[in-house]
Amino acid sequence: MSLPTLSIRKMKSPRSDRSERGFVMIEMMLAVAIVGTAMLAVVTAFSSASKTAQFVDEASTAQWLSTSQMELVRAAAFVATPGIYATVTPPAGYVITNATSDVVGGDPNIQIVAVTITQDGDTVFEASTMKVNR
Amino acid sequence: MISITKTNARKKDRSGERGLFLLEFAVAVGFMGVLGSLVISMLAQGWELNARNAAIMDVAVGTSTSTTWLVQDIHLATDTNLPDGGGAQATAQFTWTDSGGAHVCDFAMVSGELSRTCDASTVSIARSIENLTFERTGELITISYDVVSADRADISDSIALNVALGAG
Repeated sequence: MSLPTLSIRKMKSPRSDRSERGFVMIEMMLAVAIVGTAMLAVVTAFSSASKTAQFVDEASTAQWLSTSQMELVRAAAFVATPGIYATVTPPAGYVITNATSDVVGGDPNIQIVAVTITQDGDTVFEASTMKVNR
Repeated sequence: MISITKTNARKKDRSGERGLFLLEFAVAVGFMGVLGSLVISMLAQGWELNARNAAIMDVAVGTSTSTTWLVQDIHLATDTNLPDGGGAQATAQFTWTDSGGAHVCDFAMVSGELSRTCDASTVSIARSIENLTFERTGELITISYDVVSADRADISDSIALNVALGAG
């Protein structure tokens, strides 16, 4: 009694050998293109999500820093223009500056205090408030 | 019973094809292996990045919510139990008055959360808060605390918020 055998061999296609080889190349190129496109889409999505998270983090930090600085100015004694007020200690990478200016046509006892917050040299938040000498 | 016989790659079969199947198969397996490892590596990095982004957002929300509540209540307050120049304290009480009468708001840590109790109504205004202290210098209240991600301890914000008492 003969045993059944299983041999692994190339499937016979109705196409000729020449066209079959070409088709394999095209299939491979298509596969590379599809996988490459999918990977590019995934990388883009991750990059976009990271930028959004970074932006939210910066905005959140800049907002409490600005609030903190404004409150410090509010509680401080009046400093005549063009003097500046003490600043809060910012987290690493952030710098806080403030500048005073008179209101137009102004009373020297009323000034505008502008606060700017930068991170790594880029301005991320600007705000201003009025301060009255009283 | 089934036996597997090796196909002779060198000899032409009856149809005249050379037996290149093993070589092609090996190339295909190698190619898929490289692609697969790239995809798995990318997915792993994506998973890590996603967890990090979620932690950053979590901390940002905690920071924003807590500072909003604190600024609002301290601006409204006309009195506090914090002694002027008395150093840092873990809890604070602020009192404010409106047409409904006097309201007393207590801020304290409860089970790792910053808790605000006003008129016997308690809300948690931020999760995963550490090292909370209140300090008063004149009319300026400084609230220091860390907002730490519950899932990623390396993602946190250290806050030192100044709020002028009764400035609202």
